[in-house]
Amino acid sequence: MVFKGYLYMYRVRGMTSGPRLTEATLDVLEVLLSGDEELYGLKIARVIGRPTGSVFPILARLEETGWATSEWEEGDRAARGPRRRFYRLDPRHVAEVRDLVAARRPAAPARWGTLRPGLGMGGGQ
Amino acid sequence: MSSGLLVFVVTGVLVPLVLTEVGDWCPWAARRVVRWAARRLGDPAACERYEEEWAANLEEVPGKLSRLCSAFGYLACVPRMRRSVRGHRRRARTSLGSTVWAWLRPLDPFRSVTARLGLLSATCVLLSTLMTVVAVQSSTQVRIMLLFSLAAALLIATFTAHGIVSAAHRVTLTARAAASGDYTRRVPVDSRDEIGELAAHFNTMLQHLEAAEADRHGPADEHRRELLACVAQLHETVRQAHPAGTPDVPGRQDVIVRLDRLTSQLDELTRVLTGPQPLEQPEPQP
Repeated sequence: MVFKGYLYMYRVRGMTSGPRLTEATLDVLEVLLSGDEELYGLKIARVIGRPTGSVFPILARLEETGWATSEWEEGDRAARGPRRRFYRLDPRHVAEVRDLVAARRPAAPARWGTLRPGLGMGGGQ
Repeated sequence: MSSGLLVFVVTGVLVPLVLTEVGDWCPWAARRVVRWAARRLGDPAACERYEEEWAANLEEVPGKLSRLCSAFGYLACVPRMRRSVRGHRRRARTSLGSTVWAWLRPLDPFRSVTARLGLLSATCVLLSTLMTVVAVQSSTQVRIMLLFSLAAALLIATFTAHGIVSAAHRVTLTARAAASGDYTRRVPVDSRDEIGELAAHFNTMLQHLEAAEADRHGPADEHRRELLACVAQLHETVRQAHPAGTPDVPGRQDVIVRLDRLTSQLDELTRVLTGPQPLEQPEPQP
């Protein structure tokens, strides 16, 4: 048990290289864990009910630390106007983030659990 | 003008007019604010990225005034974003050693054109001073020493400049070839200075252009082959429908001529799309 505790401490300490884990950051991480393939800044902000001005710095920090990656929406800018940028968790960090969120918020799956790939933010809410 | 009429004009005409104008102006202003906010991030790549990303998000915000408010929200988050963007750029590009090196690099004559030019100037000044000292001590005429100094300085400058100019010239030659559509050539990178860096990046750009060009031609070639197969099959069908010996059907020759014309037009089109490549025309059937 003690060993497990040490392990957990080590893991949390190891994450100090990651972003500062504020409540808003945990909200964003929870949404990213939902598995939706088309999560862009505004959509995340709407899901967690926070302003985009808070969400984008968090996403930038997550990208800076390598926890999240992003890619442009398919399509040509000239044809369809500005493209959205979809964010997702880096596959190497998914397990780590899931453990962390589960540790910090045991009831996490019930909060954004209604979000499913392809259904968008309104799915089942 | 009575006060009643004034109130009517203000409330019935001016206020709606102003509100309409403001409503129309808000989305434009929101786009400008977002663009300005993105440009304050500092890093050019990040500016371009967030300008597009935020503009796309802004388009989904309902209402005109709320769009403007949302744009100001992006502007407000710029200072926090800037820290992350800078950190990301720094982390992606440099470590402590490379930061120190970035400061020291202008002093390395092998990796910096600036240092090379500085070294050239210093050598010339040193040489002139040395010549002057020699002239004074050996009682040589100053004008003779001046000629020697000038000749030596010109020689050194020529050698130094040759290294810089030849590298730039190679980039120019390759750029000229690329401008005429030849993306297969590469600049030989043999220097490690700024021009060497330019050449390396230029080669990367050419590589991407070549790949894009290949991607563009791939489908064209595929369509060409498919169309050729169709035309050949049509020829064969027309020939088999009326084998030799049977009376010719009126219009058959006309169909064959049209098929030939279609083939030649296809040939022209292919030439325009993919460059001068011979198109294998099916043998005309009698």
